[in-house]
Amino acid sequence: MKTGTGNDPFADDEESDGEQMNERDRAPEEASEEDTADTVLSEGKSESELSAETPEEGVTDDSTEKYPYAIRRDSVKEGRKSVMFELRDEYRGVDEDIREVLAERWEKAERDIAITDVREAMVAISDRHIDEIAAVMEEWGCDA
Amino acid sequence: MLAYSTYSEAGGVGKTTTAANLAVAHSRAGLSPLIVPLDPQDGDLSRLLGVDNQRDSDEVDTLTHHLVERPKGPFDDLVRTVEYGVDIVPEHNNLSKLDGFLRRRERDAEEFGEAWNSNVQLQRVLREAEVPDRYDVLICDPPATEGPHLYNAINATRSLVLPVEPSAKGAASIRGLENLVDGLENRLEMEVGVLAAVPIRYKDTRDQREMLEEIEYPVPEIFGERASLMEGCWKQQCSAFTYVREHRNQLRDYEQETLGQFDRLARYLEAEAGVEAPHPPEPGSLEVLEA
Repeated sequence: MKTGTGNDPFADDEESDGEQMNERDRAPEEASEEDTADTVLSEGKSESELSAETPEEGVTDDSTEKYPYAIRRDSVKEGRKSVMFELRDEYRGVDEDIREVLAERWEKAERDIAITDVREAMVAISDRHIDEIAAVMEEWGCDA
Repeated sequence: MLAYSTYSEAGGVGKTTTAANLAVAHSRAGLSPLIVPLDPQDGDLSRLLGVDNQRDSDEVDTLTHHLVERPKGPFDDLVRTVEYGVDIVPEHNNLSKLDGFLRRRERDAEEFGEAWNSNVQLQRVLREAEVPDRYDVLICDPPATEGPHLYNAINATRSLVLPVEPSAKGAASIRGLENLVDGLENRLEMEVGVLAAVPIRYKDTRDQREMLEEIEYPVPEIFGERASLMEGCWKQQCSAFTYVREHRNQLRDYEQETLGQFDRLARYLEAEAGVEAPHPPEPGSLEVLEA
């Protein structure tokens, strides 16, 4: 990368973009068969367990530790890095369904519950559900 | 036109607030900016600027429709105008499915023996909508995850502004970006430039000073920790300019200085692209804002 502006994305030579390539420029796509995000909620752990679980990560400063993560952060992405999940259609929207249930339970608007928090909570509880995860993956034939 | 994408690998650095405040800084100097945020998750630029109320509606036309050449209406109808006359294309939840949509569209094209590149579609949409002729500044705010959102944003802007955490992690994230961009430059036959690295939450510790020295790109402004100001922006859903003007009952010098930094950074970026703002305000001044 150089310093300063790049070349002009809207320069007149139309043929320089859009035509020339067939390469696939994308994030990893191998994972499409082994997704697990749908299984973790099967035992319906309570929200108190979830919130007890999440705050530990990345906390070093003990002055802030008395506040749970969702309260002390500046933004919903603080301390978080994006990862990409490959999901089949039937498992898309599971996170949103869960948020809907939580919103009802807490009597909050759905938009006031970050989908990012829901997703991390789904992952956070999953290592307590290894057996169920194994069962689902066996159904999918991943153990073969 | 000045066009850039804001990029930072780590979350919570202040990328989104930087994009919003720069847009306002361009606009209050008399330029006309368009923001195209591309983050599929909540807590994004559309939320910050209060235009995320239709993000889960199935009825509306969205940028995603336009990217796969299935628009439900003209591009201009996607655009909302927010504070200071800043224009924005609000994010929609379907951005989370963009990858799949693009792939499907690409497969269709393949069946007909056409070449169709997923990663140049934002550029196509903006060009067809004559954005380069009608706006002075284009700001894309993509997620950091590698994928079509980021690739489209980089391809459509070619220049980057890097809000960066002044830490070893921040330095590492710039190096990671360099690898990613090298690959993209080859694949998309483009040249990407870094307009500025923007350290945020700088506390002037020794480690942080060392990290600054490691940055090989221009560092026109260094922002200190402004947690209360930035929290206020998220709470009131507005830029720092509007927050200080409307939601602080007394001016705090250090906050006004922060606004001045956004003004100066905006002037720096404009100058890099050869764009001249018609009436730049005194940096950080609020009096021109009485509307």
